[in-house]
Amino acid sequence: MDADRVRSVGVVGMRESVKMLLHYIAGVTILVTGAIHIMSGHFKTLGLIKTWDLYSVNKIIFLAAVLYHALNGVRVILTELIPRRGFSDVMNTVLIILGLSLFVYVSLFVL
Amino acid sequence: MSRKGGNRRSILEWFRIRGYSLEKTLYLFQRVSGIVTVGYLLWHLAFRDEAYLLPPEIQVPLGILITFHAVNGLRLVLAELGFTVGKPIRAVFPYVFTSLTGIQRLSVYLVVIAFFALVVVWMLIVLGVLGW
Repeated sequence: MDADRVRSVGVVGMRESVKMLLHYIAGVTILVTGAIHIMSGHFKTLGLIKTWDLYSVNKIIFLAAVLYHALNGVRVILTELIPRRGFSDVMNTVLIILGLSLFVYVSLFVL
Repeated sequence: MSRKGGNRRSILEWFRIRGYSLEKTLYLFQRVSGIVTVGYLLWHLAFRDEAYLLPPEIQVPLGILITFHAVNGLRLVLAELGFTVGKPIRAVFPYVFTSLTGIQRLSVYLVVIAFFALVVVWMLIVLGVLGW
């Protein structure tokens, strides 16, 4: 491992560039799945989309993408505010637990 | 950004846009709209059934912020992947930032135009003028 990788790897063990690439992929995914989600709610005729089996799959993908994108955005802002390795490790762990908990709870009990 | 000194100005620095390029203003709006959207996301997950009961006074500005975040986010993805950055040139006085000219600046203008167009559509949907 080179020095940059050692510095950028936290508890999660993922490079910063990979985290940000996933952030962008999640963003584009949200554009597609979110558009379907919003349109099915706002347009009466498109409300039929909700009866499709694949709509549930769309919601799960949307939820996963939006949670990753949102919590990674929070992580980036907090990392800029408090650029300390110890804080970053704790924050990463907390955000991962929060994200996974929200994903499991919402996908099982809310959707 | 030293460990001891920290990023002291941090959030205040976002709002220092005077004298900077248009991209700095877009950066500020991207951050602010992102934070507001995270707040809405948590609220939406907690009160799922009330999502469509929001009054237009809240739906319209919220939709405007989310629309901006999405459109400008697409520009950022294209810049990140290198499509709108431009080729590097030899640094000769007077210096010209190739990353802030040409197709990059064009993409900024496209973002602004697409943003206003989508905002009009969104407002027509929320106000019930557009819908089928």
